[in-house]
Amino acid sequence: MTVSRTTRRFFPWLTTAAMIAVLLLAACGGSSSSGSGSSGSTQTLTFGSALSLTGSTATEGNLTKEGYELWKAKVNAAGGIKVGNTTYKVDIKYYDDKSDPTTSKQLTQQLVTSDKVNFLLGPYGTPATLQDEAIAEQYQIPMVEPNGASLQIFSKGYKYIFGVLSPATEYAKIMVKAAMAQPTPPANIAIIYADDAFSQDVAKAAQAYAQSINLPVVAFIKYAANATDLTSVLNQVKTAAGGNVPDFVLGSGHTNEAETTIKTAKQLGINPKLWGFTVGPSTPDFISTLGADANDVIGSSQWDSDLKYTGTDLFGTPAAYTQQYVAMFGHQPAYQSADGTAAALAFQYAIQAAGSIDPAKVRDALANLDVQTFFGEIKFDSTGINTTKPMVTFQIQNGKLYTVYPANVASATMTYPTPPFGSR
Amino acid sequence: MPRETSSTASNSPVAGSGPASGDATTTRAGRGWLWSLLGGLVILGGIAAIPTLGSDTLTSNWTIITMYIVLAQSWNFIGGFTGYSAFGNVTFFGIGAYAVAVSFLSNPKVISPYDPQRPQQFFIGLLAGVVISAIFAFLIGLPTLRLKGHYFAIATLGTSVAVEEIVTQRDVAGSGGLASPPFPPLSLHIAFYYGFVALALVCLLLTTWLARSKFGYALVAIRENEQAAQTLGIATTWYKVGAYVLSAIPTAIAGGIYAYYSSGFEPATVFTSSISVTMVLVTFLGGSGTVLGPIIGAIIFEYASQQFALSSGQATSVFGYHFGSDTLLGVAIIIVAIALPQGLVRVVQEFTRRPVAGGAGASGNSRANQFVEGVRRVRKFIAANGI
Repeated sequence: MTVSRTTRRFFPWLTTAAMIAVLLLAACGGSSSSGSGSSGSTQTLTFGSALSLTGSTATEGNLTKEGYELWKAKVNAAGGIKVGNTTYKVDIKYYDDKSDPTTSKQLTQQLVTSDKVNFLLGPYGTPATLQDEAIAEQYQIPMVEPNGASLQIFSKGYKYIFGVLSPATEYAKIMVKAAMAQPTPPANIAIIYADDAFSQDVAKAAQAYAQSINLPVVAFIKYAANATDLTSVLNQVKTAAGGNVPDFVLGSGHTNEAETTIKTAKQLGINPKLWGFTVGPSTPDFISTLGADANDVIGSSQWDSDLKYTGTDLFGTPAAYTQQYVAMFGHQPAYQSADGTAAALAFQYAIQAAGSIDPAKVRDALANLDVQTFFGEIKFDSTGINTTKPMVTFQIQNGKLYTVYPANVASATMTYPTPPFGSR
Repeated sequence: MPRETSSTASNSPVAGSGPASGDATTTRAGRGWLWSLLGGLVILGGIAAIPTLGSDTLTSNWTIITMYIVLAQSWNFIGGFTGYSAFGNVTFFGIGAYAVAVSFLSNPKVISPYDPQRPQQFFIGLLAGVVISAIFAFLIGLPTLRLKGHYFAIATLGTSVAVEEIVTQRDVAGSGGLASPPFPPLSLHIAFYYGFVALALVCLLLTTWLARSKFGYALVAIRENEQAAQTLGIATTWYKVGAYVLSAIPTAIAGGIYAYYSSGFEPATVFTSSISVTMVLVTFLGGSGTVLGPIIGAIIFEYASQQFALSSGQATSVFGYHFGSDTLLGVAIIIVAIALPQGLVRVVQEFTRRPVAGGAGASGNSRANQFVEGVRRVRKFIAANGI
């Protein structure tokens, strides 16, 4: 036996003791959490958010948190939110839902009924938002969510949920619009899409839009999300337009699938006049992986730091926002960060407009909100989604992203038709 | 199923199977099942009283704890009694959830969230989930339960992944499987709560029955030595399939209640392997194959997990890595595997067990001596089974 007698005798005790210590530590930590409150002369307004700070969507969750934190820092630096004669400092209470919707719901319940936060800022992801919004509705605490664009969130008739994103239906539509705005627009379109909920919603909306403007959809092909081989899909696309390559190939999926599509298409010699992807082109990985082949690909975005919006908010312009964000966190903001800041800004405007921190009054003010911000216009329709803010189409030109559509916020003109692979 | 009378404790499935407890033959342990049942009833009674405290947060947290009690109890039928490490029981949870979601979809007449929902839609879905899960468990169990050890575990894991993929691909209950059942009004929270409590009670009674019935003895015989059981004339295949179906049914009902309670989920939410792992882990933590083990294990683990989530809200970052409450899951798995493979309940049983007259350690009857003896036995027990 290699394990010594002493180790054998004491190891079980050590591990058991360690486990008990962990449990006690966890219990103590939990009970020491203090609620919100107003102490002394400074009034504090508490927001709550159960975010995915660990787990599968930890990156996006932390970016969202940074967006909230930047807003908090700037609001408090500017003196807080003025409501009538009272000035409120802002505090945000976070919990980590470990990217699990069930945990997110429990933590939101904790925020509402135990921590008694004044308002809720959204979690990350559609399933978590679906669960958390039920709590917001049950307790009639308004929630503005930055990261769920799926229409299911807004189709349930809830009154206390608001989303700052443009809905899923807009993601591909804006790219089709950009293509159709060209002097000789594409004569047909092929759509390939992943089988997850969001990608499907986007693809179906694109199909419906193309049909509504009489643009023939010559292929509409579904593949498994995270597919690593799209050869058969692209072989169908290759001859979809009556034996020819379609003019415009649009992919609705994820970054890795967009990269696979371009790599495979190059091998198969598929050269449509335009490539577009809803997710992928905006990530640095897309450009570094594909190199010159990434050029001329178009993508859509909720927000970008080169946009020419002018807002009345704390930040004013996307450029100023980016600068302050970099100063605080040391890296470039992603759109998730801007979404988060925009959601918090919506609350700030609504509270000021309501002249009260009463949840029902702030809810009504949110419903009537119409403000211009660094994020674009924030105005919610009757279901609570921000249908007013346009999305933008950008194109990769010489390895950099340029907004090319709509024309009033564009920073470059779109290349169309695009040269074949090899001469980009 | 006829009930057998048992005269000796060593026949009872609830008695320990570890080498250290093999020598136990006492009269008190013969009534062990009664004490376990009583203990279970007391615990569930306590849980049932929690909503009277008036804290919605507590009620919400214990809703999920009770759900995991049910999941662990039902896993115990196949994993604990029969000894077949099923790693895909979340399949039935997911099937139950989607059956309810689809049933709600079949009546899309939801004008406002505050309209009273039609309860029959929910119960039809619940029933459909039970029937589909039972049939599915039967059909899957027939071939896979011929596999042993790791192979069975992998096959069941594969099943859950396959079903998740099918639900996603076929757009069950919404595109990509994103299900969005109608709004559950606040008044229903208490109904969900007692739904889970009632389910846990049924599982407790079922487990106690298994611990005393011919069916249960057959399952334990299969666990201890399947070949010997077969030689004795036990139709092992049918007993195993029976246990598998039995474990699928409460899991599916729990999934159905969860579906309405959650108000929204995707395939990854209800088919996640972390639910399967939690079922197995908490059962082992409490004591697999025991009546009380799954209940105690689920309460300890889920409660600690929730407290941990509350305390680690401001992303704990060490050396640039984020540590969330899942860290607890990892630590717990390691500790249970190393030190407590027999579970807490068996450790307590070992501690309270009266030594055989004239057995090891001639000690007086004073409480202090009994305590010291108990500690000594537990130490021996852990050393014999752990590491």
